[in-house]
Amino acid sequence: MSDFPELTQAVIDGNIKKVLEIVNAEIEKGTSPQSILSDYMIPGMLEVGSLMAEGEYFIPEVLRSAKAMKGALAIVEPMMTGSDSMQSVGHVVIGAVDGDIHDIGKNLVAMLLKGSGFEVNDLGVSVKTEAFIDALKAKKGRVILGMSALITPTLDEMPVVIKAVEEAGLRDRVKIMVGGAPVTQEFTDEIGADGTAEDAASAVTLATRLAQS
Amino acid sequence: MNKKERFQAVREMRAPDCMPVWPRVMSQMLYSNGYILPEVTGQDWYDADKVTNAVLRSIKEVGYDVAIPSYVDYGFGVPPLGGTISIPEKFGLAAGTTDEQPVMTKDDWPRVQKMMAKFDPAKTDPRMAGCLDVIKNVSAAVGDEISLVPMYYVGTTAAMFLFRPNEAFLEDLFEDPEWVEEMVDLATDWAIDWISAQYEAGCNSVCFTAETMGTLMMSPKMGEQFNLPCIKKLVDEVKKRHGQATWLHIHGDMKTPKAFEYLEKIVKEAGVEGFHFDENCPADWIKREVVDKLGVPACIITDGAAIVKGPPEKIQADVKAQIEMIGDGLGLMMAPSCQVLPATPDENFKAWVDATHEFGTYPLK
Repeated sequence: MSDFPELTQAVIDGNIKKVLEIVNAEIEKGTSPQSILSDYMIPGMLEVGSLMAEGEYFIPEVLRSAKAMKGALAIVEPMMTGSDSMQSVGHVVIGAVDGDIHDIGKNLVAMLLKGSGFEVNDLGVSVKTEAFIDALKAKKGRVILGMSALITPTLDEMPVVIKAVEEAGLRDRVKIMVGGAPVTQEFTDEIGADGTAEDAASAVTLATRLAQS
Repeated sequence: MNKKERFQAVREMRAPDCMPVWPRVMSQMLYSNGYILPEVTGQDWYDADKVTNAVLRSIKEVGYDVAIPSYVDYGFGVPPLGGTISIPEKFGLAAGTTDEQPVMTKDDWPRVQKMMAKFDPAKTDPRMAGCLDVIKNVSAAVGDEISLVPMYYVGTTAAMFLFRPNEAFLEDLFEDPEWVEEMVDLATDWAIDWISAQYEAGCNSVCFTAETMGTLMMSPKMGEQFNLPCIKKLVDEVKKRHGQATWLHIHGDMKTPKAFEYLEKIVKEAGVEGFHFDENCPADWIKREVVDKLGVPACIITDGAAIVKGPPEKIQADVKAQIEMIGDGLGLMMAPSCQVLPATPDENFKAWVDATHEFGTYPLK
């Protein structure tokens, strides 16, 4: 017997058919889209992130759950208007650095952030420094920059971007988080980033903390 | 000892004169010769002369003990089947696949199956024909002195590269596992024929196959389901057709109980002779758990960042520290991490090879 509510478990299991059935049933019953998202679906994806960190889930399992989540988001998001609309927790610009084409981990983080209430601008892979800067300039106020690198050689792009953020006069309002397999805390501190997380679920926790700091 | 004898000693768990070194991928040899990948290959062409020169120069000047004269390239076969490959410049490991693959939906599968039935590795893809010319050239030049190793992927990795966009294939694993089994079976048969063509062109040593999803991208349970039978089929066929053993390159953390159980099956049930892991497996673990416990030789991996960045003195110190962890060192050879950029200077590779030979003189200190 699962410890999770049925909808949350269906997200964890990546059972898209069941997720859509339950979401539609909940909407019929009058459950708010915001509640469906934040009380059931997001905890499901956070658990998926934890299972990946524990070595229980791998990329195919994560993609399966992500697909179920996307299917449900397609129903609930358009319903969120007016007072029920998702209040943005913060704004994130995210991308894999120049030269790095790996995106599955980055996509998972982007999805979890979005599902957790962040407004996310995903720039994709092999993102040039200028593209990061332009995206940051386009958003007013506090913004979180998330950079990922999955191979050691592309790590060198991160301090380049950080320097560009400083030279553009944006560092005061941009918080920077970095991630990917070769990223260590030591490296994060060395390049002057504000934080790193070991897995997607922790990345959301970090982003939330940075958004509020 | 010559390079061939050195490698043979590792395979037989005897002491070589010094620890042999596995080469880095073709694209590094090209970069160090002043070429970028688009100057050497395109969607339907391959400059065999340039690649031959790069391979021979690398063997001579860097001093690798084994040669993989084919281009470690996961785009082979894709353009004739209807896909488009990408040919990167910066950080480009090899020509690779894009989202325009031969099998975009299941409706494309019957057409591709028919094309695969007629595929001739020596003729259908001009890039593969060029690669075979390189093997012939390198074999003629140095085949007596050095082990020439044929190489291609197997199982799910081979199927994904040949047929499907990456993310779609990973979804297929759950959504249509029977179709995945068809794809991995056909891809493995194709890989076996491609490897055979490389032997016929002049390769003269173990087969090197790679399953890069390993336990990095999929669970050991999925690996056992989809890949174990394919690895066994390839090992058996290479033995039957060419009398050669097979080494497996596999990614992921093999230290967890379930992953190690999978590894054991790869040895005991599939018959793999040796392993080349990635950076998740430290040298002392490999010696203890793979060489001593499973009884098969393996490569130990130097940290990729060290080789990329240097300086040579740091590389030498890292190699020395690594060799100090491996006891008698029998059954082990040195290999580069998959994270090493092709654009890493030869000076760093040379420092790494020389340090391995120097600190890896047997008996190890």
